[in-house]
Amino acid sequence: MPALPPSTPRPGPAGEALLRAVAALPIAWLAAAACSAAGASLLVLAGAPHSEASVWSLLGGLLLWLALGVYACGCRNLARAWLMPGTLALLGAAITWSVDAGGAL
Amino acid sequence: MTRSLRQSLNVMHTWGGLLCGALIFFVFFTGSLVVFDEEIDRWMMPDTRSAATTSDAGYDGAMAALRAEHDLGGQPAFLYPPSPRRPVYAVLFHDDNGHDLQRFVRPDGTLLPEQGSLGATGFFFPLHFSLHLEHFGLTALGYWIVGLAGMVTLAMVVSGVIVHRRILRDFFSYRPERSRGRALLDLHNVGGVMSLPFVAAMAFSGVAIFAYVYMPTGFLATYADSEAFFHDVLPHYDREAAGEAAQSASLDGIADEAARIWGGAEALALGVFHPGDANGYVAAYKDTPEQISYDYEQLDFDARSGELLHHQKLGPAMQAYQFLTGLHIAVFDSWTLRWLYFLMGLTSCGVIATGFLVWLDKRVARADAWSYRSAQAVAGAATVGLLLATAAMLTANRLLPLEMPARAATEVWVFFGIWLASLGAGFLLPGLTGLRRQLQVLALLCLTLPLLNGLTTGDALPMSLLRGSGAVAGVDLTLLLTGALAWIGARRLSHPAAALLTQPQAARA
Repeated sequence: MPALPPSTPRPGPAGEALLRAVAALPIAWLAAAACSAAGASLLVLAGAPHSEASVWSLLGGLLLWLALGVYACGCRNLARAWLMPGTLALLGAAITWSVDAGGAL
Repeated sequence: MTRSLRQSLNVMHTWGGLLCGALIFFVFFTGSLVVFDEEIDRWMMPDTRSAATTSDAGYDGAMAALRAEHDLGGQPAFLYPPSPRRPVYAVLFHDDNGHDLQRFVRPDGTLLPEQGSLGATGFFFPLHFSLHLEHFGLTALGYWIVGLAGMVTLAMVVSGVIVHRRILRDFFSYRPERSRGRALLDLHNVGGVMSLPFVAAMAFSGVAIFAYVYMPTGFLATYADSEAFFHDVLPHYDREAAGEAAQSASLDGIADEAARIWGGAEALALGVFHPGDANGYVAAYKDTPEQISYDYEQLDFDARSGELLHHQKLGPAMQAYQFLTGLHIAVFDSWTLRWLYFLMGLTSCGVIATGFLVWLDKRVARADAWSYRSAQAVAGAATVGLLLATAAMLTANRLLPLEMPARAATEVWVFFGIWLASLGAGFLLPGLTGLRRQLQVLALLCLTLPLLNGLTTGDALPMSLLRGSGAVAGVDLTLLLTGALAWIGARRLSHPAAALLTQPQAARA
C-alpha cells in the first residue's frame, strides 16, 4: 500500500469520530433510560409519590441522555465513549432490579 | 480543554449538522408556521374569516348545529369558542373510522360547509411533531424521528458552543470583505449565538413534551402501564357510557360555572364525552393566555345535572412539565412574543441553511462528485424546496374548487409532490441553476398569492387592511415579503461572482 502524502488527512480518526457521533445517542439513551428507572425506583423507596418520582425521573432522564450523548461524542476514542454510559446503564439496571426484587414498588 | 475534544465535537457538529440538518430545518420551519396556525387557517378557510353576525347561540347552538348533521355515535366532541384569532366556533370530533374531523359553526349557530382544507392546524401542526406518520399507524415512529432531531439539535448547540472558542467575539463579527467562506461562517455564528437560547429552549421543551415516548422506563419502573401513569399524573374523571339516552344540561351553563370556579377565567374548550348518554360528562379546559404554563386545570361536570364531578390539580412535577409544554406551544396571548417566536424560528432556519452553505463552500473543490451534488440537492430541497412546497400548497388552496372531492388530500399531495420535484430538480439542474430557478418560481408564487386570494375571496390586501382583518393581511404581507426576498435571492445568484460557489478552485483560477 503506497504511503499517504503527509498532508492527506488519515481516515481512521475521522471515521471513528463519526461512528462515535452516530452511536452516541443510542448508547446514551440506554444509560439514561436505566438511570431514569433507577431514579424513579429510589425516589419511591424514599417515600416520594409515584407520580412525582416518575415525572422528575423522566425529565432528568432526558437531560442525562443529552449530557451522555455529548460526552460520548467528545471522548478521544470509542472505548472511552462507551465506558461511562455502559457503566451507568449496568448500575441503573442493577438498582432498579434490586429495588423491584425487594418488593418496594 | 484539549484540542482533541474540540476536534471530536467539530466532527460531530459538521456531520451531525449535514445528516440531520434537513430534518431540523423542516421541524423549525413548520414550527415557525404553527406559531401563526390560526391566521394561516383563516387565509386557507375563507368562510371562517368573519363571524358575519352579532348574535351568539353559544356552545349549545354550536353543538346542536353539529349534531343536526353528524351522528357523533357516542364519540367525544371538543368545542372551541370564538376568539380574536378565530371568530367562529371550531368543533373537533371523530368519524366512524376514528379520523379527526373539524367543522366550524358561526356564533349564530350556522354550521359552515366543510372547508376542504386541513389548514395549518390540521396539516402543519401534526407535521411538526409526528410527520403525519399516524396515517400509516406509525405515530410513535414520527415522534421518535422528530425527538431525535430535537436531541441532535441540543447536541449541536452544546458542541457549537465548545467548537467556537471565541463565541463572544464571533457574535459581533461579520466580515463580508474577507473570503466568502469567512462571511458565511460569520453569518452562521452570529445567527447561532443570537438564537442559541431560543433553540435550546425549544429543542428541550419539544423533546420534553413527548418524554413519555422517549423515556418510558421512568414510569414503567413504578406503574403497571402507561394508562395507570397518565391517570395518576393527569387525574381526570372517566366513566363508561350507560347506553341509555338522556337530556343534557346547558353547555353554556357549564362554561359559566367553570368560569366562576376559575375566578373569571374563560374556557379554552369544552369536551363533551358520551354525548346524549345518561353517563355523559363535560370536561372544561381553562384558557391560560396570561401565563407561560399550559396548566389547563380541567374541570369535569355531569352532563345531565351540570354538577361538578372532579377538579384537576397537578403536582409540582407535572406543573414543571406543563411549564415546558406551555413554553413550547406558546398559547399565551402576546403578539410581541408570538412574532418573536416566529422570527427566532426563522433565524434558526437561517443558521441551518448557512451551515449547509459553509459545508458546501469548504468542499467546492469536489463539486463534480456525486456526494457533493447529492448534498447540494438535498440542502436545496430542504430549504428553498420546503418553502416552494408550502407556497404551492397555498396556491392549490386558492385554485382548487371547493366542491372537489378529497380537496384537502389533494392540497397535501401538492405539497409533497412539489417538495419531491424540488429534490429531483436539484439533481437534474445541479449547482446554482436549479436553486435560482426554484427561487424564481417561489418568488412568482408568493407575489401572485395575495392577488389570487383577492380574486377568489374578495379580500384583496387593501380591503383586508381597511377592515382590520389582521390574519389575512398578515399572511398576504408575509407572502409578499417572502416573494421579494426570493426574487432578490434569485437575482443575486445570477451574478457572476455567485457562480464561484459551484466551481472548483482550479476552474476559478
